[in-house]
Amino acid sequence: MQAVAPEAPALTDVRTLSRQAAPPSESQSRSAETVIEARNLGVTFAAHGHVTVALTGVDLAIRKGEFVSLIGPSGCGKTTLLRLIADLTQATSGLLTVNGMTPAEARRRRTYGYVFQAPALYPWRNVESNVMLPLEVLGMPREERLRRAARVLDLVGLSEFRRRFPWQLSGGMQQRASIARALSFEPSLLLMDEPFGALDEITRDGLTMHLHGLWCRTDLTAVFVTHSVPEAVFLSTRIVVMSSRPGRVVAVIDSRLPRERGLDVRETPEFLTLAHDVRAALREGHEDG
Amino acid sequence: MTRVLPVLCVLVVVISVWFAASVPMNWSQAQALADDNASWTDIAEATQSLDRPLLPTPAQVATEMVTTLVDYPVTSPRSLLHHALITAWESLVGLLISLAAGIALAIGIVHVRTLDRTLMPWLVASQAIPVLAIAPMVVVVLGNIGLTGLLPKALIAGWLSFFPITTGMVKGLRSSDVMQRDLMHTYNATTAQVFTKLRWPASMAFLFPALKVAAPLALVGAIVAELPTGAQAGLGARLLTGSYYGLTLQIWAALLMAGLLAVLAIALIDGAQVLLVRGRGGRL
Repeated sequence: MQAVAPEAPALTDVRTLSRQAAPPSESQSRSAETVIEARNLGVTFAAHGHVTVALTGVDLAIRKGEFVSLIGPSGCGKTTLLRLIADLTQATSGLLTVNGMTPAEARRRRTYGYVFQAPALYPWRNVESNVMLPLEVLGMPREERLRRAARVLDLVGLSEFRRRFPWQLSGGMQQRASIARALSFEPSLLLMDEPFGALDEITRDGLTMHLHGLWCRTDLTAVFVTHSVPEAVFLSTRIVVMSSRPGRVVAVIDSRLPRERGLDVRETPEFLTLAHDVRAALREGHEDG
Repeated sequence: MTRVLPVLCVLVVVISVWFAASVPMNWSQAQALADDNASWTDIAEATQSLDRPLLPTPAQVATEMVTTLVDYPVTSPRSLLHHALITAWESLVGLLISLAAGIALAIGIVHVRTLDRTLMPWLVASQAIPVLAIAPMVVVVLGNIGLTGLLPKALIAGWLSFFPITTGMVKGLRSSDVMQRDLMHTYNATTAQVFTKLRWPASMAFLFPALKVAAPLALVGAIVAELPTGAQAGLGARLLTGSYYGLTLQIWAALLMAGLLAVLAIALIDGAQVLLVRGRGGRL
């Protein structure tokens, strides 16, 4: 991948990056299986005579173990794309497979964990009980549920708070509980919709680092929706830049940063270059749309 | 103490006003019964101890209640407790019927689209019918097919009280937000699991206020249903006989007893709510 000078990247460079990165070449596919594949994916909503094209012509392939960020302005369809993968919304055109199955089948097999923008914890259950909710739905026996909940709460650092109720926790802790719940049944795929959006910078830094550590230690594939450029660049192995009107993929940028990173990587030149590329792609998308 | 004190203050004020009002309200009757040379104070004193006063004093009502509660065995039709227990039992059965019907209807309305659209107007219409007018017909019809005693009264009590429970539960079962339901969707949960793990617990916050509205309504329904049966038993019967024979003390004692029953019902529902909240960590 050629280095792009920070001052004046040509617009064509970003398009070149896009063409190089997606769809993946044969050699890349052989090394890691494709977890999510989208081809010419589109979603059009029709309501009360208005037709909204939420997404159009999305071509994307996400491989196992990747951390892919979807970034773009409001209304660019990034949440819609995530919901398509989760089978919370249905596509009106194109093809989408998750682990080789349709999204509906993948959802029925509980392939992924989903983290919403808000914690969405059930207020009448304590933290431990909330984390055990998917395990209850799955029908696991009680000892198994307790064991897994204990493990995953330890992973997010909420072990001492497992008997507290959601209203007794701060926003950051509630989101951590939400992430723990998404991981409790050990899915191979984690889908997150701006999970840190409502939190302050310091809490967000801590949680970002936490999430990165989690991803490094396991072989999770993660799809992460955000509108924060530094967050996307820090966490991802690949960044998908989208734009609105109509919602589409503008560029797919591979990250040149090492797999394991600390927060200090945010001051390195590679990070700044990458962030610059992402912003350039966002601007380009904005100008086109 | 901070919770009891305001209630006690209001109670003291109400009783004082009641005592004060009993003097002018009974004045004409006391004056008519008094001697020609009775003084104002004599007449005022007399207003406090009339046999059939227009407005009995709190003391008179209290005495009447205590004597009719204590002096007769529970099985005797002269005992206020006897009638109170009958009415309480009728209202309780009526409330249980309305609870079962209300919850079943709410579950149907929330889960079946057709019921949602067609049932609600009929439920609203059922509440617009004046129960006092219909109650005698219902009692007579049910009597004709052999159902007498508890059931007609419980049914009318249930009729009056099922609507708040239905609307409260419909709102409660729908009170979960989209994210919480989407979450269940991502777990591929069955409708039954969504009901037991999400909708039902979420509806508890709406069920208890609805119950507190429904319980006094069930009591009113039971009393109203007792009136057309010819005053056999229950607080409604006491009201009717008191009114027929001009026994104002009996009427007032029955009214106050009904009020006490309603307070007791709400206190019990509150107690149940406290127990539930304790299991949920302090918040409904």
